Amino acid sequence: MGIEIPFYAVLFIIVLCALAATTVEDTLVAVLFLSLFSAGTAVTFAFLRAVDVSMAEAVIGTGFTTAILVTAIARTGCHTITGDGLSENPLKPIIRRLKSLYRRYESGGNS
Amino acid sequence: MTRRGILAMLTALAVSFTFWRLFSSLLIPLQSLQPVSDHFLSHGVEETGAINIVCSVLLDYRGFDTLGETMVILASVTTVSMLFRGLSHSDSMGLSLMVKRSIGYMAPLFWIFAICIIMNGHLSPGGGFQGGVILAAMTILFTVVFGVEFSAVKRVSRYNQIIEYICAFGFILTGLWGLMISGAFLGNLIANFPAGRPGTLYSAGFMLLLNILIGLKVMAGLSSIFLYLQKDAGHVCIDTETEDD
Repeated sequence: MGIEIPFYAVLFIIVLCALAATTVEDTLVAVLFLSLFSAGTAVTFAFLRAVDVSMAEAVIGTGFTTAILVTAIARTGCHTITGDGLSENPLKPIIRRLKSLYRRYESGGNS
Repeated sequence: MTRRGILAMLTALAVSFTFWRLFSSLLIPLQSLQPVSDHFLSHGVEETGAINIVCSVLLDYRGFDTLGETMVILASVTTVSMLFRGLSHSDSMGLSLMVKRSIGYMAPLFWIFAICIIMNGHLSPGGGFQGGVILAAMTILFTVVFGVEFSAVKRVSRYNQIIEYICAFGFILTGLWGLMISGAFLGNLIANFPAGRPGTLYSAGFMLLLNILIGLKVMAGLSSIFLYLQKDAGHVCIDTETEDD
Protein backbone atom coordinates (compact mmCIF):
# COMPACT_ATOMS: atom_id res chain seq x y z
CA MET A 1 0.00 0.00 0.00
CA GLY A 2 2.69 2.43 1.02
CA ILE A 3 4.76 1.86 -2.10
CA GLU A 4 2.08 3.10 -4.46
CA ILE A 5 2.32 6.79 -3.59
CA PRO A 6 6.03 7.21 -4.48
CA PHE A 7 5.45 5.04 -7.56
CA TYR A 8 2.74 7.36 -8.87
CA ALA A 9 4.88 10.37 -7.92
CA VAL A 10 7.73 9.01 -10.06
CA LEU A 11 5.30 8.39 -12.94
CA PHE A 12 4.08 11.99 -12.66
CA ILE A 13 7.68 13.27 -12.66
CA ILE A 14 8.38 11.20 -15.79
CA VAL A 15 5.47 12.84 -17.63
CA LEU A 16 6.60 16.30 -16.50
CA CYS A 17 10.16 15.61 -17.66
CA ALA A 18 8.96 14.41 -21.06
CA LEU A 19 6.82 17.54 -21.49
CA ALA A 20 9.70 19.76 -20.40
CA ALA A 21 12.13 18.03 -22.79
CA THR A 22 9.83 18.82 -25.71
CA THR A 23 9.07 22.41 -24.76
CA VAL A 24 12.43 23.76 -23.60
CA GLU A 25 14.29 25.94 -26.15
CA ASP A 26 17.85 25.09 -25.14
CA THR A 27 18.75 21.65 -26.46
CA LEU A 28 21.28 21.06 -23.69
CA VAL A 29 18.54 21.52 -21.07
CA ALA A 30 16.31 19.23 -23.14
CA VAL A 31 18.99 16.53 -23.07
CA LEU A 32 19.27 16.89 -19.31
CA PHE A 33 15.50 16.54 -18.96
CA LEU A 34 15.69 13.44 -21.15
CA SER A 35 18.35 12.06 -18.82
CA LEU A 36 16.10 12.75 -15.84
CA PHE A 37 13.27 11.01 -17.71
CA SER A 38 15.48 7.92 -18.11
CA ALA A 39 16.37 8.00 -14.42
CA GLY A 40 12.66 8.09 -13.54
CA THR A 41 12.01 5.20 -15.92
CA ALA A 42 14.78 3.20 -14.24
CA VAL A 43 13.19 3.85 -10.83
CA THR A 44 9.84 2.74 -12.25
CA PHE A 45 11.34 -0.52 -13.50
CA ALA A 46 12.91 -1.08 -10.09
CA PHE A 47 9.49 -0.53 -8.49
CA LEU A 48 8.04 -3.13 -10.86
CA ARG A 49 10.77 -5.60 -9.79
CA ALA A 50 12.47 -5.72 -13.18
CA VAL A 51 15.92 -4.98 -11.81
CA ASP A 52 17.83 -6.11 -14.91
CA VAL A 53 15.84 -3.79 -17.17
CA SER A 54 16.21 -1.04 -14.58
CA MET A 55 20.01 -1.35 -14.61
CA ALA A 56 20.13 -1.36 -18.40
CA GLU A 57 17.86 1.69 -18.58
CA ALA A 58 19.85 3.56 -15.94
CA VAL A 59 23.18 2.92 -17.61
CA ILE A 60 22.09 3.39 -21.23
CA GLY A 61 19.50 6.15 -20.87
CA THR A 62 21.08 8.20 -18.13
CA GLY A 63 24.72 7.64 -18.95
CA PHE A 64 25.49 6.71 -22.50
CA THR A 65 22.70 8.48 -24.41
CA THR A 66 23.33 11.71 -22.53
CA ALA A 67 27.03 11.54 -23.37
CA ILE A 68 26.31 10.89 -27.06
CA LEU A 69 23.74 13.71 -27.30
CA VAL A 70 25.95 16.21 -25.44
CA THR A 71 28.77 15.28 -27.80
CA ALA A 72 26.48 15.87 -30.77
CA ILE A 73 25.45 19.29 -29.42
CA ALA A 74 29.07 20.23 -28.77
CA ARG A 75 30.20 19.13 -32.22
CA THR A 76 27.38 20.78 -34.17
CA GLY A 77 27.00 23.92 -32.02
CA CYS A 78 23.21 23.75 -32.15
CA HIS A 79 22.49 25.00 -28.64
CA THR A 80 19.12 26.48 -29.44
CA ILE A 81 16.45 25.54 -31.91
CA THR A 82 16.07 28.48 -34.28
CA GLY A 83 14.00 29.08 -37.36
CA ASP A 84 12.62 26.57 -39.86
CA GLY A 85 9.46 26.17 -37.83
CA LEU A 86 11.24 23.87 -35.38
CA SER A 87 10.61 26.21 -32.47
CA GLU A 88 6.88 26.15 -33.05
CA ASN A 89 6.10 23.41 -30.62
CA PRO A 90 2.46 22.37 -30.72
CA LEU A 91 2.39 22.24 -26.92
CA LYS A 92 3.62 25.81 -26.53
CA PRO A 93 0.19 27.51 -26.95
CA ILE A 94 -1.24 25.26 -24.24
CA ILE A 95 1.59 26.11 -21.87
CA ARG A 96 1.22 29.82 -22.62
CA ARG A 97 -2.51 29.58 -22.01
CA LEU A 98 -1.95 27.82 -18.69
CA LYS A 99 0.62 30.44 -17.70
CA SER A 100 -1.75 33.30 -18.48
CA LEU A 101 -4.54 31.57 -16.58
CA TYR A 102 -2.27 31.10 -13.59
CA ARG A 103 -1.15 34.74 -13.78
CA ARG A 104 -4.75 35.94 -13.92
CA TYR A 105 -5.60 33.68 -10.97
CA GLU A 106 -2.65 34.99 -9.02
CA SER A 107 -3.42 38.66 -9.68
CA GLY A 108 -7.07 38.04 -8.82
CA GLY A 109 -6.05 36.50 -5.52
CA ASN A 110 -3.87 39.47 -4.68
CA SER A 111 -6.35 42.23 -5.45
CA MET B 1 -3.08 30.09 -32.05
CA THR B 2 -5.70 28.52 -29.85
CA ARG B 3 -6.91 26.47 -32.82
CA ARG B 4 -3.44 24.97 -33.03
CA GLY B 5 -3.52 24.16 -29.33
CA ILE B 6 -6.92 22.50 -29.58
CA LEU B 7 -5.68 20.54 -32.59
CA ALA B 8 -2.61 19.38 -30.66
CA MET B 9 -4.72 18.29 -27.70
CA LEU B 10 -7.12 16.41 -29.98
CA THR B 11 -4.20 14.70 -31.72
CA ALA B 12 -2.68 13.69 -28.39
CA LEU B 13 -6.04 12.31 -27.25
CA ALA B 14 -6.49 10.36 -30.48
CA VAL B 15 -2.99 8.90 -30.32
CA SER B 16 -3.34 7.88 -26.68
CA PHE B 17 -6.77 6.35 -27.38
CA THR B 18 -5.28 4.37 -30.27
CA PHE B 19 -2.43 3.12 -28.10
CA TRP B 20 -4.86 2.20 -25.34
CA ARG B 21 -6.97 0.22 -27.76
CA LEU B 22 -3.87 -1.51 -29.13
CA PHE B 23 -2.54 -2.51 -25.76
CA SER B 24 -5.88 -3.53 -24.33
CA SER B 25 -6.35 -5.82 -27.31
CA LEU B 26 -2.84 -7.15 -26.80
CA LEU B 27 -3.56 -8.04 -23.18
CA ILE B 28 -5.75 -11.02 -24.09
CA PRO B 29 -3.11 -12.96 -26.06
CA LEU B 30 -0.62 -12.23 -23.28
CA GLN B 31 -2.75 -14.38 -20.99
CA SER B 32 -2.11 -17.34 -23.28
CA LEU B 33 1.64 -16.90 -22.78
CA GLN B 34 1.23 -17.68 -19.07
CA PRO B 35 2.27 -21.38 -19.43
CA VAL B 36 5.59 -20.33 -21.02
CA SER B 37 6.55 -17.99 -18.19
CA ASP B 38 5.34 -20.56 -15.66
CA HIS B 39 7.64 -23.09 -17.30
CA PHE B 40 10.57 -20.65 -17.15
CA LEU B 41 9.93 -19.93 -13.47
CA SER B 42 9.43 -23.53 -12.38
CA HIS B 43 11.94 -25.41 -14.57
CA GLY B 44 14.47 -22.63 -15.25
CA VAL B 45 16.97 -23.57 -12.57
CA GLU B 46 17.09 -27.29 -13.35
CA GLU B 47 17.16 -26.81 -17.12
CA THR B 48 19.77 -24.06 -17.30
CA GLY B 49 21.51 -24.01 -13.93
CA ALA B 50 21.24 -20.23 -13.54
CA ILE B 51 19.41 -18.89 -10.52
CA ASN B 52 18.79 -15.57 -12.29
CA ILE B 53 15.82 -16.47 -14.46
CA VAL B 54 16.21 -13.35 -16.61
CA CYS B 55 19.72 -14.40 -17.53
CA SER B 56 18.62 -17.95 -18.28
CA VAL B 57 15.94 -16.59 -20.63
CA LEU B 58 18.35 -14.13 -22.27
CA LEU B 59 21.25 -16.49 -22.82
CA ASP B 60 19.72 -19.96 -22.93
CA TYR B 61 16.07 -20.09 -23.94
CA ARG B 62 16.26 -17.02 -26.17
CA GLY B 63 19.99 -16.91 -26.85
CA PHE B 64 19.47 -16.36 -30.54
CA ASP B 65 17.76 -13.00 -29.84
CA THR B 66 20.77 -11.92 -27.79
CA LEU B 67 23.02 -12.81 -30.72
CA GLY B 68 20.82 -10.56 -32.89
CA GLU B 69 21.10 -7.68 -30.39
CA THR B 70 24.87 -7.89 -30.31
CA MET B 71 24.93 -7.98 -34.10
CA VAL B 72 22.92 -4.72 -34.11
CA ILE B 73 25.68 -3.07 -32.04
CA LEU B 74 28.29 -4.53 -34.40
CA ALA B 75 26.46 -3.08 -37.42
CA SER B 76 26.17 0.38 -35.84
CA VAL B 77 29.88 0.38 -34.90
CA THR B 78 30.76 -0.58 -38.46
CA THR B 79 28.60 2.23 -39.84
CA VAL B 80 30.06 4.86 -37.50
CA SER B 81 33.62 3.75 -38.27
CA MET B 82 32.82 3.98 -41.98
CA LEU B 83 31.53 7.55 -41.55
CA PHE B 84 34.45 8.79 -39.45
CA ARG B 85 37.17 6.87 -41.30
CA GLY B 86 40.55 8.51 -41.72
CA LEU B 87 40.02 11.40 -39.33
CA SER B 88 42.39 12.19 -36.50
CA HIS B 89 41.61 12.98 -32.90
CA SER B 90 41.77 16.57 -31.83
CA ASP B 91 43.99 17.53 -28.91
CA SER B 92 42.44 18.04 -25.52
CA MET B 93 44.22 18.41 -22.22
CA GLY B 94 41.47 17.13 -19.98
CA LEU B 95 40.59 18.55 -16.61
CA SER B 96 42.79 19.75 -13.77
CA LEU B 97 45.35 17.66 -11.90
CA MET B 98 43.15 17.29 -8.84
CA VAL B 99 40.30 15.75 -10.83
CA LYS B 100 42.74 13.47 -12.64
CA ARG B 101 44.23 12.12 -9.43
CA SER B 102 40.91 11.60 -7.68
CA ILE B 103 39.44 9.81 -10.70
CA GLY B 104 42.60 7.74 -10.83
CA TYR B 105 41.96 6.56 -7.28
CA MET B 106 38.28 5.89 -7.92
CA ALA B 107 38.57 4.17 -11.29
CA PRO B 108 39.57 0.69 -9.96
CA LEU B 109 36.43 0.62 -7.81
CA PHE B 110 34.28 1.39 -10.85
CA TRP B 111 36.01 -1.36 -12.80
CA ILE B 112 35.51 -3.86 -9.97
CA PHE B 113 31.80 -2.95 -9.89
CA ALA B 114 31.43 -3.49 -13.63
CA ILE B 115 33.37 -6.77 -13.56
CA CYS B 116 31.23 -7.98 -10.63
CA ILE B 117 28.07 -7.23 -12.61
CA ILE B 118 29.43 -9.13 -15.61
CA MET B 119 30.75 -12.16 -13.72
CA ASN B 120 27.66 -12.54 -11.49
CA GLY B 121 25.23 -12.17 -14.36
CA HIS B 122 23.76 -15.65 -13.85
CA LEU B 123 23.56 -15.22 -10.06
CA SER B 124 22.25 -11.70 -9.49
CA PRO B 125 20.63 -8.89 -11.48
CA GLY B 126 22.80 -7.52 -14.23
CA GLY B 127 24.74 -9.32 -16.88
CA GLY B 128 27.07 -8.78 -19.76
CA PHE B 129 25.17 -5.94 -21.36
CA GLN B 130 24.81 -3.76 -18.26
CA GLY B 131 28.38 -4.31 -17.11
CA GLY B 132 29.67 -3.67 -20.60
CA VAL B 133 27.87 -0.35 -20.78
CA ILE B 134 29.36 0.61 -17.40
CA LEU B 135 32.81 -0.17 -18.83
CA ALA B 136 31.97 2.00 -21.86
CA ALA B 137 30.88 4.77 -19.48
CA MET B 138 34.31 4.43 -17.87
CA THR B 139 35.82 5.16 -21.28
CA ILE B 140 33.61 8.25 -21.51
CA LEU B 141 34.77 9.33 -18.04
CA PHE B 142 38.42 8.85 -19.03
CA THR B 143 37.85 10.83 -22.22
CA VAL B 144 36.34 13.72 -20.31
CA VAL B 145 38.88 13.74 -17.49
CA PHE B 146 42.16 12.72 -19.15
CA GLY B 147 41.54 13.95 -22.68
CA VAL B 148 40.85 12.19 -25.96
CA GLU B 149 44.51 11.42 -26.65
CA PHE B 150 44.98 9.37 -23.48
CA SER B 151 41.71 7.50 -23.80
CA ALA B 152 41.98 6.64 -27.48
CA VAL B 153 45.68 5.94 -27.83
CA LYS B 154 47.15 4.86 -24.51
CA ARG B 155 44.38 2.69 -23.12
CA VAL B 156 42.78 -0.60 -24.16
CA SER B 157 40.46 1.44 -26.37
CA ARG B 158 42.91 1.25 -29.25
CA TYR B 159 42.15 -2.47 -29.56
CA ASN B 160 38.39 -1.87 -29.58
CA GLN B 161 37.71 -3.17 -33.06
CA ILE B 162 39.71 -6.38 -32.52
CA ILE B 163 37.96 -7.07 -29.19
CA GLU B 164 34.60 -6.44 -30.84
CA TYR B 165 35.16 -8.89 -33.68
CA ILE B 166 36.81 -11.56 -31.54
CA CYS B 167 33.91 -11.51 -29.06
CA ALA B 168 31.27 -11.70 -31.81
CA PHE B 169 33.19 -14.61 -33.32
CA GLY B 170 33.43 -16.31 -29.93
CA PHE B 171 29.68 -15.99 -29.39
CA ILE B 172 28.98 -17.64 -32.74
CA LEU B 173 31.60 -20.34 -32.08
CA THR B 174 29.95 -21.18 -28.74
CA GLY B 175 26.62 -21.53 -30.55
CA LEU B 176 28.19 -23.69 -33.25
CA TRP B 177 29.76 -25.93 -30.60
CA GLY B 178 26.31 -26.54 -29.19
CA LEU B 179 25.04 -27.21 -32.70
CA MET B 180 27.81 -29.75 -33.27
CA ILE B 181 27.35 -31.64 -30.00
CA SER B 182 23.62 -31.56 -29.44
CA GLY B 183 22.05 -30.46 -32.72
CA ALA B 184 20.67 -27.21 -31.26
CA PHE B 185 22.28 -23.82 -31.88
CA LEU B 186 23.41 -22.34 -28.52
CA GLY B 187 22.49 -25.56 -26.74
CA ASN B 188 23.66 -25.22 -23.16
CA LEU B 189 23.29 -28.19 -20.85
CA ILE B 190 22.24 -30.59 -23.59
CA ALA B 191 25.59 -29.86 -25.27
CA ASN B 192 27.45 -31.22 -22.22
CA PHE B 193 28.51 -27.85 -20.85
CA PRO B 194 29.15 -28.37 -17.11
CA ALA B 195 26.04 -27.55 -15.10
CA GLY B 196 27.74 -27.11 -11.75
CA ARG B 197 25.86 -26.46 -8.55
CA PRO B 198 23.22 -23.71 -8.96
CA GLY B 199 24.21 -20.59 -7.07
CA THR B 200 27.96 -20.93 -7.46
CA LEU B 201 30.16 -18.95 -9.83
CA TYR B 202 31.11 -21.88 -12.08
CA SER B 203 27.62 -23.03 -12.92
CA ALA B 204 25.01 -22.73 -15.63
CA GLY B 205 27.12 -24.05 -18.48
CA PHE B 206 28.40 -21.43 -20.87
CA MET B 207 26.61 -18.48 -19.27
CA LEU B 208 29.71 -17.12 -17.54
CA LEU B 209 31.63 -17.32 -20.82
CA LEU B 210 28.82 -15.67 -22.78
CA ASN B 211 28.43 -12.90 -20.18
CA ILE B 212 32.14 -12.09 -20.40
CA LEU B 213 32.03 -12.15 -24.20
CA ILE B 214 28.95 -9.90 -24.37
CA GLY B 215 30.38 -7.54 -21.75
CA LEU B 216 33.67 -7.10 -23.61
CA LYS B 217 31.84 -6.75 -26.90
CA VAL B 218 29.43 -4.09 -25.67
CA MET B 219 32.29 -2.25 -23.95
CA ALA B 220 34.38 -2.23 -27.11
CA GLY B 221 31.49 -1.32 -29.39
CA LEU B 222 29.99 1.55 -27.41
CA SER B 223 33.32 3.07 -26.40
CA SER B 224 34.55 2.95 -29.98
CA ILE B 225 31.34 4.68 -31.12
CA PHE B 226 31.97 7.42 -28.53
CA LEU B 227 35.64 7.76 -29.46
CA TYR B 228 34.77 7.94 -33.17
CA LEU B 229 32.37 10.78 -32.38
CA GLN B 230 35.23 12.66 -30.72
CA LYS B 231 37.27 12.66 -33.93
CA ASP B 232 38.01 15.95 -35.58
CA ALA B 233 35.49 16.42 -38.37
CA GLY B 234 36.93 19.73 -39.53
CA HIS B 235 38.14 18.28 -42.80
CA VAL B 236 34.71 16.96 -43.74
CA CYS B 237 32.77 20.17 -43.12
CA ILE B 238 31.77 21.69 -46.45
CA ASP B 239 32.56 25.39 -46.21
CA THR B 240 31.82 27.83 -48.97
CA GLU B 241 35.44 28.99 -49.08
CA THR B 242 37.02 25.58 -49.44
CA GLU B 243 34.52 24.45 -52.04
CA ASP B 244 36.03 26.80 -54.64
CA ASP B 245 39.44 25.13 -54.90
